[in-house]
Amino acid sequence: MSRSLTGQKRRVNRRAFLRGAAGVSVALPFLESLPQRSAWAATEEPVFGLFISAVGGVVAADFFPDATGPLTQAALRASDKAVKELADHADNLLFLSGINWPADTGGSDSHVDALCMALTAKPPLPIEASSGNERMAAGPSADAFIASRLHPGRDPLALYAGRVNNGYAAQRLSFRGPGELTPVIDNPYTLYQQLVGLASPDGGTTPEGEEAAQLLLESRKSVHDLVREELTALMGNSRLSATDKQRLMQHFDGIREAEKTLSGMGDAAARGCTRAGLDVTRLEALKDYVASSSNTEQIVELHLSLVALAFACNHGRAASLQWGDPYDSTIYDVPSNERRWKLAHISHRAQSDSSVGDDALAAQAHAEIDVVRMRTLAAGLEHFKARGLEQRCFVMWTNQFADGPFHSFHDVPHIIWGSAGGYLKQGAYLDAGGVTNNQLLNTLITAAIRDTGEIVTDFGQGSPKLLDDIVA
Amino acid sequence: VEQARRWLRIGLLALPCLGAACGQVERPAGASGNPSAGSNSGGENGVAGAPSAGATGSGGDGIELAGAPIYARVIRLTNSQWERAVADILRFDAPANLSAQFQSPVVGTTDFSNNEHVLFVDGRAFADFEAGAEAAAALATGSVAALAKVHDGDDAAGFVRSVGRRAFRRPLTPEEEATYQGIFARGEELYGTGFVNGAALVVRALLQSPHFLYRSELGPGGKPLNGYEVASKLSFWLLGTTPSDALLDAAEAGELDSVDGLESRAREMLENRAAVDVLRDFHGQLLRFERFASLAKPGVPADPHLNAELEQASLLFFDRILEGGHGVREILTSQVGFVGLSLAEVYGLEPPASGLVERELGPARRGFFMQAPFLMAHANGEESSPVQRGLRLHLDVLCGKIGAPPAELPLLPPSEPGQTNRERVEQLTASCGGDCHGKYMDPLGFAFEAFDGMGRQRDDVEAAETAGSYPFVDGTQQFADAGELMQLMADGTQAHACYAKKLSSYALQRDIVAADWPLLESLTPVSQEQSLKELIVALVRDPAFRLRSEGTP
Repeated sequence: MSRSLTGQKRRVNRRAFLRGAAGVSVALPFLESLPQRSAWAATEEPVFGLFISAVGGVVAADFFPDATGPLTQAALRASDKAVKELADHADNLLFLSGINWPADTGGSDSHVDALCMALTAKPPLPIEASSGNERMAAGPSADAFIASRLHPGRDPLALYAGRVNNGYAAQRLSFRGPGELTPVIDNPYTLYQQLVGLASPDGGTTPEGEEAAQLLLESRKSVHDLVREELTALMGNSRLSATDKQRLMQHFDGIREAEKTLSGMGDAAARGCTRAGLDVTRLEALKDYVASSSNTEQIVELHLSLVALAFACNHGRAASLQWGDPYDSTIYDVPSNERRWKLAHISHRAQSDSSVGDDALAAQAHAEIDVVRMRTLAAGLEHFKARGLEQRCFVMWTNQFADGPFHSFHDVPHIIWGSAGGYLKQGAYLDAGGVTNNQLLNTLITAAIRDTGEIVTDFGQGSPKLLDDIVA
Repeated sequence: VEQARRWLRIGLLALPCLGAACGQVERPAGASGNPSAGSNSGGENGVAGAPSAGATGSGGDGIELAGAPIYARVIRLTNSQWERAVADILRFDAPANLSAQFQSPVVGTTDFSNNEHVLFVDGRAFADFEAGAEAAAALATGSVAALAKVHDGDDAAGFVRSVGRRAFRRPLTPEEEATYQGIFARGEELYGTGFVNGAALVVRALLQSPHFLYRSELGPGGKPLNGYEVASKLSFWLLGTTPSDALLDAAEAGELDSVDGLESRAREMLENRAAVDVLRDFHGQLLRFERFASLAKPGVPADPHLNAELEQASLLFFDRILEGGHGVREILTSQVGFVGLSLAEVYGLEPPASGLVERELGPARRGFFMQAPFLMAHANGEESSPVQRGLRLHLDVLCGKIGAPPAELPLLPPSEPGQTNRERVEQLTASCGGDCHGKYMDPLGFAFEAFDGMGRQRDDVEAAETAGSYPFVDGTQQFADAGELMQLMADGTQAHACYAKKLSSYALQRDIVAADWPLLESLTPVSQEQSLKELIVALVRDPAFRLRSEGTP
């Protein structure tokens, strides 16, 4: 199209301006994420969405409550299921069974295929059977789809907890489009660095940041006033047609919208956009991060704490987190794993990447690992709760598979936290009835982009409709 | 030339008479406007005065002239124009790619993405331009050296005057100078005393001003644009950027007030490399070069270089048309192509040592549409696609009209034993009804059946597979194959009229409608006989370019 006229893409961020024109010498990275897309100017409150997929399946019999119905903190605490770890969040939770991936079985590599389908609701792109680990998704993932609708040209926040350079198969969750992976951040410290200029440890903005932001607001106001005057004068030209005047009026209105955004920026701190609650010590310790087989849960929790901050500060509206490698080598320190098997082998019930067995101790270890992972999720959700995001976002958790050794694509467990602006039911365990995950993703996408007024029913592959059962 | 004009008139007149879905054209709502006021060719009345007997008897279905131009007096810069203009105003060494994340115009509703219909400033665009202006100001004032390039001095008044003139593409009024000096002072008030702080805020304000963001034509209808307006129009069209200081000086001196003066500047610009880039954008949009990047051939071993080579070969082909003094005739008949490692194999030529080189492709390939990029881009994998090829020629090269396809397109069935691809397609499209396939698209596409989906020449093609006819504005013409078809198009009127229409649409940034027929009547013979450069010059000289259109209420 116009490639020859635009050249190579290079983004110049707004930090540069603040150094050059404002005379502020400190780096203010977070100002780059100040809302350019007027998320706070919308009639509807913006909704943020995080999609998580863990790996290795769960022990289904020990995971969800035995019966569907209302969720209460007391009942969950009394349960012997893995999700009892989420009891404190019961009021904001929705458990979902009866969700299937769009393909009945995997191709040559079900581990990769499953992740490719988790957020795209499409079977992966076909490739040669001998290289199944190279399979890619056939469409954009839900996080990328939301980002494309709300801030085109800017990727969702795609995070990874695992060994992204494991040499076989790694990120397969977030895709910009067919076959195109979204760049991921695997080290929470990297994301922390992007956000660090936001707020002081006590929860207030830094003095330098406050001053720079205030100057930016005031200088923009001056420019807006001038542009408004010029537009008004131009619209007074009698030779302009009605259409010309409508166009200029549209421009005029655009300034008003931008100013609403500006006023919203001042509410940032009130919306939980503070550095409070971050485990700065642990984050700083990750400067020289190397993924290992023992720190997956720690990385997940740190990622979750930073996504909560990013959402509270309107640093993008969608995010995803792949919780483990497709063939995960995390060695969980649980009572039944004294043999130090990695997760993939525990999931297979055999010490093998390619075959499955029926090792009972591995099954017990898997159930214990489910508990550990639900504990990590609960801790991560605490960060979202602390920033008051229960009504302003959703966090969707799922797994690569429904279970361990069989790697089933049917009845894959889903957990949703948050009401997405009152759009989603909460405090319930529902059976979706064996539907393809496109319906769930349609619903979550629609919730996330509600401020655009768009209802999405044709995402992925499957019946083009919403999952009405989960809509409040 | 007279014959060409006559056939063009006939074609235009015949448009509303068509009854079939293909070729049926309704008179556009805005066609009553007369954008070429002052033209000596007549406008709507000229169409009405065309010989009606010829119109009904020609069989020519004419070029599509639907649309609803706004004739905007304020036209927002495109993202690309914004990018280049900012770089030139602020004396960047090269565009800084600040617009990479700007909202893109809606595509598909207009011929080109620079059409007035798709350029506006809404909330999203305002935020884009604001962020872009702030980033540009940061770059321009980020160092003493950078700021010195923007303005060689440290006085606020001089800064406002010189940078303001470049940004507004005209001198600032005294009131505007005072206002922007006030902005300079405001910058110092907010950020502290210092030239850089005042200058930065002035740059931010200038780049968000409607006088920068919109190219305007504010003079009386039917009268020539003033020197500054026509300087901007010319520079943004031919160079894709804001007028240079020298061009503004020429405007100030009245050198652009005469047609010859304007032509002289246009000819200078056409020797500038930036004009080649603009024409790349034009041809790229016209012929959908964006397809090349994602083109995939299922079942064919991937060639990592092929996609880029297809695009590059296409760009170089059209570069050569412009720079070599060629025109539409050569686009349709040139036997020269550009060949790299991948395309050499397609053409059966010795591969070059590196890069793409100009090669004679031989008489079997005449013009761009018989070269591999077009043939590969419009195919079903390794198989040819007569429907796609014919459709693109009918719409993009001959400006034919076509109705909407059925809601559910039937799939092409597998070949039956002994059946040619043409017979297979005819069997499928016979049931489509109307003239779309049988009269317009398919005959054009079948002409290329000598080439498979990879652009390779087939050695088993029969004459019956490629022969056909098409109802040109000059009358229905028979052709034996694509080579003859290309020659007919080069010798005829319709492809030239269509190209003139497309070029005018891109240059004037609006739909070209029936009321523009005097413009097309003037340009078509130039296209038939002269080069692309001469065609551009003719357009610059035309009243449609130089004069302010009457506009709509």
